[in-house]
Amino acid sequence: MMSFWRLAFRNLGRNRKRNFATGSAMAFGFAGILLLTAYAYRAKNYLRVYTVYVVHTGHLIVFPKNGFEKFAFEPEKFSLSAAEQEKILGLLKADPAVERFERQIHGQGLVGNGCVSLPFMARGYEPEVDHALREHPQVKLWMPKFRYLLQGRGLEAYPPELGALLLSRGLSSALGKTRLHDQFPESAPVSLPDCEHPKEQAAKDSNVQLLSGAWAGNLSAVDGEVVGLFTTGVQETDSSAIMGSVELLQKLFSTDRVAQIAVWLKNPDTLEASRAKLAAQLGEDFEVLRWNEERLSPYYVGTVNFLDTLIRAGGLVLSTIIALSVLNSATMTVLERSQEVGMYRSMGFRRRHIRQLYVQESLLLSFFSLLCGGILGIVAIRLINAADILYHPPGVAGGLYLILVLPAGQAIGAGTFILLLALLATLFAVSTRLRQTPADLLGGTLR
Amino acid sequence: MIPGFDSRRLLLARLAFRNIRLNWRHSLATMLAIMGGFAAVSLFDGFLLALHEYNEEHYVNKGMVGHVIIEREGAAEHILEDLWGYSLSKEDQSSVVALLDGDQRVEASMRYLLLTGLISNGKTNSLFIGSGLEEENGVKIRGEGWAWNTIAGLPLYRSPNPGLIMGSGLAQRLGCTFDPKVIQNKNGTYLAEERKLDCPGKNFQLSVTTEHSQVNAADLPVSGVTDFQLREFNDKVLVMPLEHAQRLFDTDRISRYVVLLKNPNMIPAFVRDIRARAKERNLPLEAIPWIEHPVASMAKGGLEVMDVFRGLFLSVVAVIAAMSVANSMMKSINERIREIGTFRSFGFRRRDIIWLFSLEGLFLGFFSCLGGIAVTSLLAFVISNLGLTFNAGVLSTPMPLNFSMAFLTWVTTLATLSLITFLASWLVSRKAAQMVVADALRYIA
Amino acid sequence: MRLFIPVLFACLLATPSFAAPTPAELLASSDRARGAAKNLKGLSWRSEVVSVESGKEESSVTYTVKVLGNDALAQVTQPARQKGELVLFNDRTLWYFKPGLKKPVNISPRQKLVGQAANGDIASTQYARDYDALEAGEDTVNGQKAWKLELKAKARNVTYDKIRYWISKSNQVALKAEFLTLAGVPFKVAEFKYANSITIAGTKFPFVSEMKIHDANNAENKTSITYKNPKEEAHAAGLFNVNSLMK
Repeated sequence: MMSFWRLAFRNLGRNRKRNFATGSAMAFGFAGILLLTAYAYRAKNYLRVYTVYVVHTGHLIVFPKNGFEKFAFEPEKFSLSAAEQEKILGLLKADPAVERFERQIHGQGLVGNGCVSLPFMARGYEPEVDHALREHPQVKLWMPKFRYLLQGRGLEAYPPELGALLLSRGLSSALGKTRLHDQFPESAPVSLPDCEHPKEQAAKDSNVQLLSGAWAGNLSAVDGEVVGLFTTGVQETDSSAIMGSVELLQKLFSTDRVAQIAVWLKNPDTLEASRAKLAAQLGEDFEVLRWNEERLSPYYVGTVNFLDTLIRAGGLVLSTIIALSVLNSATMTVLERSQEVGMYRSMGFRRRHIRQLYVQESLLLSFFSLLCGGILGIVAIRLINAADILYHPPGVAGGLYLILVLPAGQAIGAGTFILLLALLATLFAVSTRLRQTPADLLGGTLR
Repeated sequence: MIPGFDSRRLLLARLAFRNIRLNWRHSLATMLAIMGGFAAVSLFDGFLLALHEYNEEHYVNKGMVGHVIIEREGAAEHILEDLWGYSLSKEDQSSVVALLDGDQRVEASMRYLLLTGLISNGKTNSLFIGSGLEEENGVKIRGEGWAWNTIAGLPLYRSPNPGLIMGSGLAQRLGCTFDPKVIQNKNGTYLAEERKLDCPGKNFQLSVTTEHSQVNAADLPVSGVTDFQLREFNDKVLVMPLEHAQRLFDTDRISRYVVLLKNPNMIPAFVRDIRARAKERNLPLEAIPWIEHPVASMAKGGLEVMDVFRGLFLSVVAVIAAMSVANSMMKSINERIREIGTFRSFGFRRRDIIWLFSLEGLFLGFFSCLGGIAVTSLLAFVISNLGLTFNAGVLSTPMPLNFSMAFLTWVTTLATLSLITFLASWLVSRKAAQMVVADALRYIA
Repeated sequence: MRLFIPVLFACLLATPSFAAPTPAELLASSDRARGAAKNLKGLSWRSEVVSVESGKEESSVTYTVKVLGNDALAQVTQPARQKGELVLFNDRTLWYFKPGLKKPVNISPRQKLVGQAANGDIASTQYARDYDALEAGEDTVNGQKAWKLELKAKARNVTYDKIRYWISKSNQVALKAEFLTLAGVPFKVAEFKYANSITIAGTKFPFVSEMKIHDANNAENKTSITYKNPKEEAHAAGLFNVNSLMK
């Protein structure tokens, strides 16, 4: 019925002000929903990438049985032996779904500058994997402004025998290690400690010692060279964090074992299938956890659930308000045009024809409004992204730039949902009026 | 007679009110839209207010942060890099006591020493951060509700041999066993009963670097285990009596004073006074409200994120409300052109017509908001009593989903939306008011 | 003859009575038997530290210990993987060092070395220097009569805050020690044996041969330190200089 479309289009021009008001409400409401959706989409992806890549969680993590809970209590007992590592790595190398993997270890001890010793918490990674993760396309895409290092270069830029270390900012300051390895000449000697002036003396080289209990129980120590500084983002832990290579920490703890092996998949959509396959291959003596399990990534899971609830509630409220606006407008339109409806009925138009006409009007108005709302939303997103607004959500190192990313699929889905709501509201308003007889409608007494 | 309102305006107001009352059905959808928007904004603010109240109770009382923190200048940013450079000597402590002495606003104050070191169960080391504090004053800061602050074992003030209170994650890491389920009273405080706590060996060894840069160690027993609210902290934080801490660190210095006021509304004035008096006496001290201090950065960060949502929400709701009212008023005006003509022919001026419709818009918004208040109150009451909880990412235990009555928001939102509806009506009624009287009388909608 | 007995009696009466030694004197005597010999060019011995947990031997480490005045150097000789590691005592400051490390690490005498033994246990004891002692009565330990002393640390960086110490009446050597927490509760107990001897200025004195330490709450967790071949041996002062470790 092409003529209905033409008629519907012409009818839109009959009450421009009202249609403008209704359309504006819809457009702004839709733009608001798009902004919320874009914020949530970006925030969730940022957190996902931060969890999976930046903090080295991986998509899957392999522990010995009970290792996740008990490694900290009895590291020697609840870690992966050299033979177990070989077995696991062999399986991972043969799996085409695996992008990369990494042996990991962590522990605590004292770090000294020759005079003063302070407690530290260290994480051991494989330097090449650390570098690859920082350069990962997902990190570049979702965290383009993220600065991994405050100063210096990554662990991969140094030979293993150097004992390269990254210190958290607060720890480097407390130790007096304010100059990095690269700032000294190649063969600069290590200065003897002058404990009358420990901080001045400490700044004369980038050398530190890590002391801890070896897993066998005796004291153990290794040399380290401070090559870079980073921040944990949390003031309380920024004075004690260290990152080093797996080999260095294994030397410190006098072990060839590791705490866990993290695995990154080429296609994260195969997460559960890959997990099940690996778990079946490894057997009961191992646990394979998914990165998005609450006990492994409680911050990610809790924050995403919270965001989802907030966005859904906000979206629902806005949609309801939009629907009520449309209902209001449609009701007024139909009321005013009661006589016109009566005339159509008397000319032989059926109720469904009248319904169709109004629904098509509403469809056109909603479509144009949503289109305008979409454009408005996209423009707002671009403006916000260009404004470089930095804010500090809890637990995010260094703060976060407010960047919105609009997922096309979700935007179309939201638009379709609002369109359907608008059509239902119109249908409701029209159907109520259509119960009247043509004579009553023509009489014009039912306003 | 209302001063400033002449009889003409009063008449118009009465007419506007009557019109709204008589035609409420026609404006129902508009009113519902405004009510919905008001309720959404008010509930959101009620949620934020409940969140702030929750944070306040958990930081100020349970966490013993107090309302105001008094410390050395610069300590807030730098103390964790240089514990001793930014600490308070005995002389500084006497100065603080002199500042607080006799101040009727102060409910309690407590000395507090920040700690960091390694704790060992003999097999493994674990990093700890935490504090040494005066337990007697700590109980006053915590208040009656949070005096019992452990989920297993005993609080320090009830322990025959006060030692360590550990975060649940740290205790588990060191091999202690206990039921981690937190049993709470209806108001969220912990059930005041000793629950079983078993740790390997009676004592743990703590190693620290003292004020004089020596490594020192001490063996201390575990008195109890608690939940420090944030996951990040539960794995690392412990608390001990101040005298043990000072002995361990070989010092008589402290990191800060925390002050609990009788009334939180006194915080700004109290902070101003302390700063002024410290400046007068040339004391290098700073007084910081708890929410401004880095110790509350997690809470503050969370509220900042919510504020972003709130701003967006409010803007969109305001636009939709304005458009809905504009729509409604345009229809109403269109149907009443003849009425306008009649008024004009009686001698009502153009501005009287504009004023009439503007007032109708104002009343529409106002009464819709009153309806919104009723809806908000009902929903807030129902949801708050459902006992729902939610996980908020960084928190170690779920938070109750509560909505407080954000009266200030109600008033400001009511005023804002009423003003918006007033202005929307003013805009749309201007053209109709310009019509020639004769044309208006002949007008057919 | 009639005068002999009264004269003998008078002589006996005139014999000066020997007063009980002061707590400080007792500590000095017991320190001598545990390596803090004064007026010597230096002391050396070998220590074997064996740790047992829940009845199972966990580790065994052998040290060569050299002492000069308030300084001591304890160097690991066995097991091979730890050979060359050392702990240097400069008065009350301790350093840990091992070959290849560029600098020593400052550690605490209270930190656990092996099993129940703290760092401060493996060198000589200097309780007379480090503790104020109060008499706390008398007691019997393993059938031997002993004075009981309550020791309180003079400085904050000594190995233990408080010690309950039993010193033999017969030869003024320590028989038993209870090491107390800050709160005054025993957390570790040690017993001593003296099968060794050492000659100082021509006089032979008993020297500790074994120190057995166990957890006060779990006797199955214990560490024994065996002392062998104690002898006077001259040591250069430079041996105990922390900077010499890095050369």
